[in-house]
Amino acid sequence: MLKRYSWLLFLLLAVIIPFGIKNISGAEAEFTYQRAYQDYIYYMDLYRQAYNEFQLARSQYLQSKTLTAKSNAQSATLKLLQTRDEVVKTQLTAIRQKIQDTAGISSSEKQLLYSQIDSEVAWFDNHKKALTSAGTLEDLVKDNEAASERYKGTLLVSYGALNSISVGKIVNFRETISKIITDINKKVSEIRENDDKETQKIERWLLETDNRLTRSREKEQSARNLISSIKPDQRNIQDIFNDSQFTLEESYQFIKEANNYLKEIVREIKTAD
Amino acid sequence: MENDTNQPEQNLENQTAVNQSSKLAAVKQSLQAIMQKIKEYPFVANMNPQIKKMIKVLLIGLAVFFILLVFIGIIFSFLKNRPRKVSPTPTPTLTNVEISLEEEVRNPSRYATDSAVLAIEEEVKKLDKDLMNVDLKESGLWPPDISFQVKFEE
Repeated sequence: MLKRYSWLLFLLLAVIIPFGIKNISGAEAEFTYQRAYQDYIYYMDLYRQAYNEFQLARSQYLQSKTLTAKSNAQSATLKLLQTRDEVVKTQLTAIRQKIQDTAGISSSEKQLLYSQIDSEVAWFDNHKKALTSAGTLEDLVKDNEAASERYKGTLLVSYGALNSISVGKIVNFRETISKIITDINKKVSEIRENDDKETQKIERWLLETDNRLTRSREKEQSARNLISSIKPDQRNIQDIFNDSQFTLEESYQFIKEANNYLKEIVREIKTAD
Repeated sequence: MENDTNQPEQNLENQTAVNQSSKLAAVKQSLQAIMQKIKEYPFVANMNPQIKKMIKVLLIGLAVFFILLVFIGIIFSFLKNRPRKVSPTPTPTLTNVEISLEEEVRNPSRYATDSAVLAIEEEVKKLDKDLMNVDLKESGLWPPDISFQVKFEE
């Protein structure tokens, strides 16, 4: 009897096991940038709530100095520190996903950024786990100081990664334009051989377009230099990052100009002499 | 008739003017009385007229100085409270005119319908769209506004 139905059992397992594996890997693959960003927004909301509760518990404790108020302050501080760690982790994870989705960042740069981000995420993950073992309010205050110190380095990683994302987008646009220029050059050679249309103007315009790309590349390099000049203890990191973003915006404007030139070139090819 | 209606208003105005002048006269009288008392004060009465003059000049000078001080204070507080003009962060702008590929070519060349040219045109159009929609800064991912101020000392 058992032998008779063993083939049926085998068939069922053969169907169920691959289906289960597919579902598990499918769930892992579903973790997209959108999902990561939603997680970040969710924990940011929780953090704001925890921060308000912490402020209330703190002021009550400072006013009354009772043991009950101290206990409440300790719970509120624990919640604040835990949600803040989650905010940092989810923000970095969202950046990681964005890097993954951004074409234009080289794989070696991506690997470097991933390792930096993963290291920060792991630190805040361990920090969050260790928080539950803090016995007193004073222990939590020390845990906060450790997180505050670490966060200085985390900010550097964040700004560096965000800069790389912007640069990656610009590089990707520039590569597309370079490919279009190559295609146009091929066509122009063909037109020149056919000798049925004047090509000198188009060739000159192509040089102008290439020149815009060079200007864009120079601006991008300036932005990279600005970010690499940041030192961990520097106070104006945000200002340097803003300057870098502004320089990248200029680089992007040169790309837009190059694309406008391409439009004119296409129009010129389509128009008879 | 019109004069009759204006009569009570004129009376009221006259009465207020009389009241104000009588108040001023009363203030003047009381100030004169105070000055007289100060002059009659033995210390002031026996004072050297030159010193008296110097004190008078000094007092007037001090009064002017205080009035100026108050005036400057008012001006400074006004300037301080005035909302600062926030200059927007300059962003580079594209100076050249947007070129449209949708516009029909009036005098087409033999390459106007060439498949390779049309493919290039499509690529340029796609790139244009991507350039318009790109979020270069990704400001939604910028470091969050979180606080590390966890202290329990006042």
